[in-house]
Order: sequence, then C-alpha cells, then structure tokens
Amino acid sequence: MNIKRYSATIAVVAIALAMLAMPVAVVAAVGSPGGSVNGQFTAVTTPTITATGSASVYCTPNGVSTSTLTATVTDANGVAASDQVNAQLYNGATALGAPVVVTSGTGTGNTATFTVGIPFQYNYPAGAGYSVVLTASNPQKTSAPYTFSPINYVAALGVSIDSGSSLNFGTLGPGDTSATQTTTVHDTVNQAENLGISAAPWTSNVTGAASVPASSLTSNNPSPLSIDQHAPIGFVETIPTGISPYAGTYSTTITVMASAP
Amino acid sequence: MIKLSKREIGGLLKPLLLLLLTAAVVLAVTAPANAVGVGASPSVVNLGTIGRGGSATQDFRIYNTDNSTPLNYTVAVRGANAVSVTPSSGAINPLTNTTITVQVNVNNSAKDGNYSGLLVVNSTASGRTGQAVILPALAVTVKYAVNGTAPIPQSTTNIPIVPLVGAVVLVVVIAAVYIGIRRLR
Repeated sequence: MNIKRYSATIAVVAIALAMLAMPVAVVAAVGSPGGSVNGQFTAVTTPTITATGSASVYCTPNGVSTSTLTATVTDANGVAASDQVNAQLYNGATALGAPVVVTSGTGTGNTATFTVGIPFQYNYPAGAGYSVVLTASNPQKTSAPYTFSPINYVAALGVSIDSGSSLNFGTLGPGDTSATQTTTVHDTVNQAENLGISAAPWTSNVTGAASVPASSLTSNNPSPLSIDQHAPIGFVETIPTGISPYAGTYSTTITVMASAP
Repeated sequence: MIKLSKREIGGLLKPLLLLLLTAAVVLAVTAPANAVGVGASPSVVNLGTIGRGGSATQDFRIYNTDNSTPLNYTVAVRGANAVSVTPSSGAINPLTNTTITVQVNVNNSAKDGNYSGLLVVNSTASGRTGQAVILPALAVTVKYAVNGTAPIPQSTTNIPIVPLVGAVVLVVVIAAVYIGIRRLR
C-alpha cells in the first residue's frame, strides 16, 4: 500500500475543502448584523424614521397626484443597502392603496434619506384627514411608526363627457317629439358636484330662418353627481305646434357645467 | 366532390354580403364619439385678505382630462369686477394642464367685507359636428376679503456709505486741526 501517495491526495482534498468553506463562513458573518466577525458579535439595532413633506395635495382630475415625502432613517449600525422604508396612506383609519416600499436611500454612515411618493387617486375624497404612516426596517428590526399628518387633499372640479358628446335628433316637424338622445357624464374629481345644463337657441343654416325655441329641448339632471359617478343625461327635442320653421339643418350647443355642491 | 351551380353560389354569397353590410352599419353606429373632459384644481381660488389699493394673485390649473382630443377653453370672470385672469383662453393638449393666474386689484373706495365671484371655464367644440354638441364647463369659485387700507410702500433713499464716512472723517480732521492751531496760539 502506497501510504505516501494517499496521504498527499488527502491533504490536497482537505485544503480544497477548507478553501471552499472559508468564503461561506465569511459571507455568513458579514451578511448578518447579528453574526460574528473574528469572533465579535455586532448588536442588532432598531432604526428610527422621521419624514417631512407638503401639507397640501392638489387633485389631478381623472388622474393621480403624487405627494413626495422625504424620510430620514437613522440606524446605529449604518443604513445598509438592505434597509427600506414602508409607507401607507390613510384617510382617517382607512388605508388607501397599496403600501409604498422604497428600497434605496441616499446618504452615508448612520443616516440616509429616502424619497417616498404617495399616490392620491382622483376619486379619493377631498379633506384634511389624510396621513401617511412610515416605518423603516433592516433585516432584523422595524422602527416605531412615524405618522406624517395632517395632509389636506384639496378639492377640485371636473366633468367629462364619456359618450354622446354630439347628438342627432333626426328630422322633426311641428308637433314632433324626438327619441331620447343620451349623453353620459362622469365626475372626474375628489368631491360631489352639481351640474347646470343649459342649451343655446337652435340656429339654422337657412338664411333668415326663425330659430326653434330653445325651451323645446329638455333633459333630466342627475345632480348631485357623487365622486366617480357616471350618469346618463337624456335629451328630448319637441317642436312646438303652431310654428313653421324653415326646412333646414338646425344646430345648438349644450353646456354641462359642474360646480361645487 | 360537391359541384355548385352559379345560381347556388349566388344564393350563398347573397347572405354573406348582407352580413358584411350589416356589420359595417353596426360599426358606424357604435363608433365612440369624441370624448371630452375638463378639470380645474383647486375648485376654490382664495386670494386672501387685501387692503384698499392693494392687489393679490393666485394660480389655479385647468386640465384636459381626455386622452386624445385637444381642449380649447375660455375663462370668464362673473360677479367680481376687481378680478382678472391671465390667460383668458387657450388650448390644452390631451392629458396635460395649463396654469391660470388670477389677480385682484382692490380700488381705494372698496368697502371692508368678503367678496366672491365665479371663474367660468368653458370649452369649445373642437372638431365635433352634430345637431347638438355637448360642452363640459366648470364654475370655479373665487373669493377674497377687503380689510383696511394697503400699506403705502415706503420709498427708500440709498445713501452711499463710503462718501458719508469720508465726509465725517474730513470734518473730524478739520476740527482737530482747528483745535490744534488754537492751542498753539
């Protein structure tokens, strides 16, 4: 038996295994704040967080407004790349939208700042009862929550004509009533709205023709429109009897005006 | 193998053509009309408290909430003679907004109190035809209060500090020389 030859092989294998195991041990020690490097344990720390930002947010009709908060995170062991900030928007006690998670901040040492964008949807109700609750966390610990409040979501106005923005009543004669033509309106902002519906007098393409009385055009009014409500408005045109409008094409404009309730 | 006569082929094509024509008519009827939408933020423009003879400005934004149609708008002031807007008309591309500046100039005879009016934002039909065109509009509230008289701006005169110091030094030197001469006598 060639002991010398085997012992050399065993020695080579042992050295190779040791070399493989060494980086794993180092990674395990460095990657964990609670682990050990050279036999010394680092303490597990709890980060702290504060935040600043604007106390008012303006609504983007039919869109999203972003309120930007600057969160300052402090961690005694250093704000490592693994630290992150979680933020949740509330209206009173009601959480709105998904939590916002920011995983990268700027800064060195024990303090870093994180830029946190909080989305406000157009259909969140206007008011001053909004707040954002933020926490910072490292792999072991999460900070005490920090509440940024109050935030006032400022009321806006907005209406869109989703369908039926051009209507045709067909061909009508004196005494005729048209079929109902429908327009669909949408409250596109963060508050309820009243609608004022008014029509200009019909005008004709026939020179010298008398206009058809505007009062012949009638509609319902779905006011007040609630936030995000889509509502139909039915228009009916009736040509009064006893008038003799010139034959021709008549046209008008109908204004749907939204105002605060 | 099935063989069809010309008559049979014609009989088959006829309903097919009718089906195609019907589909075309349905598409034409259900094609969406141009949507149009307008928004304003905030819904109340508060110019604050102004003294007689004073002025104030505040901005608000008009939004085109439609994703395809440009919005032509006008802004008119109702019920508040001291208020003006800039610009009072323009065009806004889809899904964008523009800033309107509201200004109030309170004249010297205005009485103390709260004032309000409306900023009427009208849209115009852009590229839409029909017997009746529907136009979205908004009534934005504008308000301000008048209290007292605006402070008169103080006119300030800048006195050049170097010539002033030089003049003082000169006076002191002259006085010292004068006193010195008198003592020598």
